[in-house]
Amino acid sequence: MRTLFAVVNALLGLVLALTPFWLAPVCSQMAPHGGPMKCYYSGLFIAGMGAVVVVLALFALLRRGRGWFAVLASLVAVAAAVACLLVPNGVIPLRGAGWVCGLCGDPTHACRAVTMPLVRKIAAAIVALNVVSLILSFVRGGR
Amino acid sequence: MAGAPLSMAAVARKNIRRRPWRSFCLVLTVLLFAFFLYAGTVLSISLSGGARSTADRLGADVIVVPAGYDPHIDSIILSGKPSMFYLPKDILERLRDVEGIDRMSPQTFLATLRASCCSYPLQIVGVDYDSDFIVRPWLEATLGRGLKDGELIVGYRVNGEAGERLHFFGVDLPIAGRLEQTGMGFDSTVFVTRKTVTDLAKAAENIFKHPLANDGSLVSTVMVKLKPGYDSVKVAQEINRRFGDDDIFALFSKKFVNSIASSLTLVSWMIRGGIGLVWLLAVIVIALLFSVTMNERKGEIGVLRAVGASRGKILALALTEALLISFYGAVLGTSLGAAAAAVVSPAVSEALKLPFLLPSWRALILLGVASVTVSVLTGVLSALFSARRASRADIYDTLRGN
Repeated sequence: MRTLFAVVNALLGLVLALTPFWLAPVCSQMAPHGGPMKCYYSGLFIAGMGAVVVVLALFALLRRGRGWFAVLASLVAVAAAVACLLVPNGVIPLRGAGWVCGLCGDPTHACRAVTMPLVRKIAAAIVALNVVSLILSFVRGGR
Repeated sequence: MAGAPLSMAAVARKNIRRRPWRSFCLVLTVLLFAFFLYAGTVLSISLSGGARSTADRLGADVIVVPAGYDPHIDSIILSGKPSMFYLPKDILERLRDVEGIDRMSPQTFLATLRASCCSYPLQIVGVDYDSDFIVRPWLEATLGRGLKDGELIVGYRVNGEAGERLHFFGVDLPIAGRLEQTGMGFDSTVFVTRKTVTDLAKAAENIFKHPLANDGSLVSTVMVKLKPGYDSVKVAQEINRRFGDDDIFALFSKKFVNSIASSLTLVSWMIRGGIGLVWLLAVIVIALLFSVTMNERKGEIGVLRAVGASRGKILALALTEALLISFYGAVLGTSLGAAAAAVVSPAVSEALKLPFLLPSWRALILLGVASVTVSVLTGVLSALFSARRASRADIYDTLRGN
């Protein structure tokens, strides 16, 4: 069961990582000042979080005997999926020198109309899968 | 064989793991209850906070708008939806004759256009800084000084920080400051002086013809403060009686706040009803599952009693199981509830068309602790009846499994 969860987690993480630039790309235009737009940085963040989910799921697969690692991987996967919703929407502000994560103001633009709806669905699936995995870890122990 | 000492918690954990499917259902039930309790309470408090913020900040007793535009003023105040409309030119002179008016302050609206991928239509509100009593105290508290011509103050949700510049109709304007979150349409509004709004309308003439460009005295709304003792409903009716035929309409702001309050009451009751229903279901499901579990374990309880476990020990063991299951479900459910509240709040506020103001971080953490506590108590108290019945059963009967 734990192996199955890790495999599905890795697949969902992979889809999440591929979404912002390959499966449902964010807006490709440049910002008025010439640099990439906020949704581009949000895309990078989402791709990074997807990669984290994949790496942890693969580690959990390799360390099947260590139950605590599966629990840790599930907790991080839930946090990463939720962060993929909170950071682009500005609930958790993330910015650096010359860049800021966010979405375009116009609801018809690709980042809000195409990318985020898909990200929301994948994030919800990751959260649901890992919550079930966490409960099973609790009720089944080392089995 | 080395192992963990057989403490009460260790035995309870083993019991939980012996029936994984039933334990899964119990954790899921508590999780769902904690989730709805936390997310629903945060939603309800945020709506109340938004309505309070609107009532506090809507300092005008009467708002005068062009006839037929009162729904637009609702949209501007609630959601910041950009609108442009203008009153007859001599509106201030006409209103001066109305009895009971203490102060009047005109505001001029200008809606921007979508200019690039990252810009979207915004409401620009030109305030008359000398007479203003609505925005000025609030601006001065934020800015620490007056608002100058050619600079702007941005609402909480407008992109840009103090010191940066915003580009409207080809004009770069410096941001003097950012307002605190209000939960209203003001969060997506830009405030400037009325001279600046006229200059922007002139600059916009390259794109579209705008009446404000030719006449800077145009007014969109007049905010009216009444003298003490005057009734806002009666004064609004008097204005409508006198000027109703001239496309002038006065609405008393209490009516506006009242309509928010009545919508809010309905939504709050629906949320509370939902939480109550989930709570009732959680109590029934947990009590049933525990009752079945205890019935199935009569033989085991009988053996424990026969080897010397007291009734108190049996009760404590059953309650520890309930506590562990409830705590795990409550922490997971509350955490998910917090994430859901943060993620869906903007969409909920947009769908309900009500002002929305999330509580402070401290309040959210306190609510989380309260939610976990209530969920754990619900789980433990629901299991209490079955646990007590199991602990009081006769040793002989329980060993026979009756």
